[in-house]
Amino acid sequence: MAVETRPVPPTATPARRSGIPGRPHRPTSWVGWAKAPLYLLAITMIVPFYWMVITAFKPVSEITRNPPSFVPESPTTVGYRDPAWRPDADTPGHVAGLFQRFTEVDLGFWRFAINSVVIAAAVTVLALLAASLASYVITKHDVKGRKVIFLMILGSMMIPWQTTLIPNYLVVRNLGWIDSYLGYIVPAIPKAFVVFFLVQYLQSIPNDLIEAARIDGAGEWRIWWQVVMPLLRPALAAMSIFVMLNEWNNFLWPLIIVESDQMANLPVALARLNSAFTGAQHMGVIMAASLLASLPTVVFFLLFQKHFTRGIAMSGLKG
Amino acid sequence: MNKRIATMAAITTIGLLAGACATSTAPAAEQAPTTGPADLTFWMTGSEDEALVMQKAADLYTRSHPDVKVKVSALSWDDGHAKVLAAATGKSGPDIVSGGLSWGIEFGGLGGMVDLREQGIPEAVKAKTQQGVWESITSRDGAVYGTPLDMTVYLTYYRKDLLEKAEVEPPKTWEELTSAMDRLQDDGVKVPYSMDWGNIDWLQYFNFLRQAGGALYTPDCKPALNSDAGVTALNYWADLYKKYKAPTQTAEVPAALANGVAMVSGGSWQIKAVDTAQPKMKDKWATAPLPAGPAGQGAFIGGRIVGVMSYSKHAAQAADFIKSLYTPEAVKVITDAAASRGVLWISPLTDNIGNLPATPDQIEAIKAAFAAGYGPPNCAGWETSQAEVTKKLQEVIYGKSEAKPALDAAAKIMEQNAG
Amino acid sequence: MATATGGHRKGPRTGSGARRVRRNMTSYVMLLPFLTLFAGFLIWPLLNSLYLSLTKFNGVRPPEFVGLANFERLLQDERFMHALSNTLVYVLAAVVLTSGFALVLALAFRGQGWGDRLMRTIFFLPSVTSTIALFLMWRWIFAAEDYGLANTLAGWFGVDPVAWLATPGLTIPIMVLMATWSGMGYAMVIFVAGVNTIPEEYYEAARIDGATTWQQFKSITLPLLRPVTTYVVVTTMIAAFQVFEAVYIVFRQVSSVGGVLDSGLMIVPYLYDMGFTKFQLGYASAIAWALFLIIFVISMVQLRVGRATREL
Repeated sequence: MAVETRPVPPTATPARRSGIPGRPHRPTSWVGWAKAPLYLLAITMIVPFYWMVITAFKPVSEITRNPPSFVPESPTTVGYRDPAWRPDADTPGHVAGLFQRFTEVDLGFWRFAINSVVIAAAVTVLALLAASLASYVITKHDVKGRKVIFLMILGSMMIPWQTTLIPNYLVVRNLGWIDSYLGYIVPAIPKAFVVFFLVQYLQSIPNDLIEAARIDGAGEWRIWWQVVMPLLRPALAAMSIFVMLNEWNNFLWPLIIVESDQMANLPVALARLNSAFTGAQHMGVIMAASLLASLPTVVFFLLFQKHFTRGIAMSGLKG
Repeated sequence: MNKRIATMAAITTIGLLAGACATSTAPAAEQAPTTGPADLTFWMTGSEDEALVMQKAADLYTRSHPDVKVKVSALSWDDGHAKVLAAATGKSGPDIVSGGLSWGIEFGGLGGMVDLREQGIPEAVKAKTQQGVWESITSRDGAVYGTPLDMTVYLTYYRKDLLEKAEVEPPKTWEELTSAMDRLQDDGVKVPYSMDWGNIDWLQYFNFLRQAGGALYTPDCKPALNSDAGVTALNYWADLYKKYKAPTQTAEVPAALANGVAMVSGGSWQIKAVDTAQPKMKDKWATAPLPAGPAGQGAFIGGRIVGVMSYSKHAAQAADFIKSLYTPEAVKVITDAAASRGVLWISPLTDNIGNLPATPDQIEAIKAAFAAGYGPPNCAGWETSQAEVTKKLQEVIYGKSEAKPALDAAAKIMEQNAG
Repeated sequence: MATATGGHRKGPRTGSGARRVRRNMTSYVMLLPFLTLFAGFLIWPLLNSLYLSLTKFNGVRPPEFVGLANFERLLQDERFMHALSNTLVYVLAAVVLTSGFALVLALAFRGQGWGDRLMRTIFFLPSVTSTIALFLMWRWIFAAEDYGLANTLAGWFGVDPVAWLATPGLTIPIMVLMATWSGMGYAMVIFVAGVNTIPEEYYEAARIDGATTWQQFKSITLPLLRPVTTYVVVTTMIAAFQVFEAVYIVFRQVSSVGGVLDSGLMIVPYLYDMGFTKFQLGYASAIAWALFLIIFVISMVQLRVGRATREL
C-alpha cells in the first residue's frame, strides 16, 4: 500500500486532536486524505453482504433476471416460506422456501440451529471448565510434572488439528459416537490454546488471595470456584468468544462425523443445501439460510463488541 | 519423581486405551430372521425431493408388509460417496443405500454390500432393463451388488426461437452441429452451445468418445481411450470450448437457455426444472437427442443403483423391499410423486418410457438416448481414476496439452489404478 | 528432565506434609479432565497418525506396515506437489495482503471516535459471519450467469461474462481475495491494540528532532510493533495453510476436490480427498504429517527470524 509510505511535510500540525481527550495522538493531517481509499475499501466490505441480503428477499423471477436489480423491486419472504409453492403440484416460478425443506428432519431448518447452539454452548462451558482447572494447578500448585505437562500443551499448539483428523475419526467411530452430540463435543474439549492463555493470565495474578483462602481453610475445589474463577473472568470471557465462534463455524469435523441430516450443524446444513439445489432459482433460499446462520453471531458481536475486541487484543498482545 | 512417572503413565494408559478401540474391528452382523418385523434405514443419494418420493414407495411397501418400516433420508451427491464408504468400512449405518451406478461394484468389492444374486433380484429385473446399464453395474466376477433404481440420459435442450431465426434445424450429426454453431454465431448468438451435466468433466467427453466409436476400456478392461477415436472425440469436444466459446463454468440448463444460449447438453431431469426456474421460457424451448458422431449415436446413461449393506441385520427384508420397487404399482407411485415435485423420474424398466409424464418430443429424445446409451465402465480402478482423468482432459480444453499425450497420460493413470 | 525443581520459586508451601500430599492428590484430580481428553484426542491421535502414515490402511483390513513408502510416494505425487505449490503461493499472497491491509487499517482507524469505531466494525464483520455462509455468498457473486454480481460489474466496463470459477488463472487470486477480505479486520483489531500501547512520548521526542511521519513510522511504530506483527503473521499463516472450506464450497465440482485443472487444490482438501473420498488412510496420514512438518518448520523459522531481528 503506497498510501502509508508517502512522506508528509514536517510543517504538519502536530496535534490535531479528535476523539476522547487524554488519549495519545499522532500527527494525523496526512491521514485525513490518505484515508479516502480506505473508505472506498469499506464499501467493498459492505457490497457482498448487501448482495446476500437482497438476494434472500427477492422472488425467483427477480433472482434469475438479467440484468439484476440492485434494489429488490418486489421484496418478499418466499425464500423462507413460499405460500404459492405446493409439495404435490407443479408450481412454475416457485421453489420450496427454507422452512418448507428438510421436512424429514424434526423441526426442519431450526433443528440445525438448535444443534449448533447446543454444541457451541456445551463445548464452550466444558472446555473452559477443564482448562481453568488445569491452568490453576499448573500455575498455583506445587505438583511434580506440571512443567512437562505445560510444555506438552504448549508444544501441541504447533500441531495443525487436521493431523489428528483420521485417528480421531477412527476413535470416535469405534466409540460409536459417529452422528452424535458426543462425537461433536468430547473431542473438542481439550483446547491447548485456552490453557496457555489462562496460564499466562494467572501468572500475572498474585497468590495473596489464594493463600488467604487457604489459611481460612478453604479446599482446593472451593478456591478454584470461588477465588480463581472470578479472578479469571475477563480471560474466560475472551476465550469463550473464541471457542464459541470456532464451534459455530466448525465444518470439516462435522462433515466427517455427521451422517444423518438430523445431526447436522448449521455449516453442514448450508453446504448440503448448496449441493442438493444447484440452480440459480434456489439461490434465494440458500442466501436466506446463510443470512439466518450468520445473524446470531453478528448480533452477539454488535452487543458485546467491546468484549470481542478486548479478547482478541489480549490474546494478540500476550501471544 | 515417582509421582511424575505415575502421572505420565496414567496419561499414556488412558491414551492407549482410547486408541485401542481404534484398531479393533466391528463384529460381524448377526442375521435376524429373514421374515418378520424390521426397521430399515435407506440412504437415498440425491435431493430431499427425491428422498420424499422414495418414501412414498416405502410407505406403499409397509402397507402390504405392516411389520417392516423403511425410513428414507437424503444424502447429497457431494459427500454421499464419502458417507457410504465410511459406512461400508465402519460397518455401521443404513441397511439400504442408493448411489452412483459404479458404487455397487466399488463397495461390494470392499465387502460392504450384499450380492443380490443370493436374493434372486437380478433374475427378476435384468431382462427388463437397458443392457448397457446392466453391464456397468455387474462386477467383473458376475456379482450384482446393486440393481438400477432410476436412469438419467443426455438430451440437447435448444431454443426454438433462436434456431428458427438463424434458420437451422436441431443438429443430428457433428457436421450439422458445427454448421449450426457457425450460423448461430453469424446470427449474433454469442454462445451457441453449452454443457451442463458433466461440463469440463469426463462425462461429457464420454458422449463424444462413444459417438466417435471409442470406449474408455476394452472389454477386458485395458485402458482404450487413447485410440484414434479418442483423439478425434477429444479434439472435437475441446473445440466446442476453444473455438465456439462454450462456457467452462457451468450454468444450469434453465439459466443457460434464459441467458440466450441456443443449445445446451444436459441431463433429462432438467425437463421439469426449466419451467420452474424460468416460467418466461415456456414454449420457447424443446429437446432432441445428442448429435451422432462418425460412428453413430452414443451417450452416457447415468442413474442410481440400490443395494443392501452387508452388515445389515435385516438383509432379507431389505432385499424384499428392493424387489418391490420393480412392481408396476411402485413404479407408478414413484413416477407420479416425482412429477408432482418437479422431478422427471425415469424407471430403469425400459417398458415404462412411453408412459413418462413428458411431451411426445421429449419422450422420443429419451427413447433415442436409451437405445444408444452406455453406463460407466465396470472396470477396477475407474472410480479412483475419474478425477485425475478429468484433469488430463481439461489440460486439452485449456490448451495446456495436445489430445494424444493427454489421453496417453490418462490411460497410464487408469492402468496404475487398476492394479 | 530437571523439571521437578520447577516449583521452588512460587509454589504455595504452607501446611504439613500430610496436607501437601492431599493437595497433590487433588491437584492431579483437577488436572485429570483436561489431561485425559488432551492425551486421548490430541497426543495419542498425533502418534497414531504418525504410525498410520507408515502403513497401508483402507479402514477395513488391519494396517499393513510399509515403512516410508507413503512419504516416497508424496515426493513423486504430481497432485501433492501441485497442492503444495498452490498452497505456498496462496499462503504467501494471503498473509502479505492480510497483514499489510490490516496494519494500514489499524493506523487509519485506531481512534475512539464513532467514525473509527464504525469503520472497525465494518471491517470486522466477516470475522463474525458464518464462514460457510460467506463462501456461499462468494460462490453466488462469481456465478456463471450473466446476472451474477461479478459478471454484472464486468458488464458495466464492457467486459464479456467471465467464467470466474472455471478459469485456472483466476482460482488463486479469487481465494486470496476472499481470504484477505474476511481476514484483515481481525488482524486489524490486534494491530490497533498494539499501536495504542506505544507511548506518545516517543513520537513527541521524534517530532522535536524533526522526524517526518514516515520516519516516525519506520523507526518507532514498526520496530515497537514487531512482536504483534510476528503474532499476526504467524497466526494468519497457520490459518492459511489449513484452508479447506473455500475450496470445498466455492471451487468444488462433483467429481473431485480442487477445481478446474486442480488450480485450487490445497493440502487439506487433498488430505480430505485421499482420506475420506478414497479412504487411503495411510497415505492421507502421511499428507497430514507433511502439513504438520511444513507448518512447524515455517513457524520456527518465522519466530527465529523475528527474534534475530529484534536482537539486532
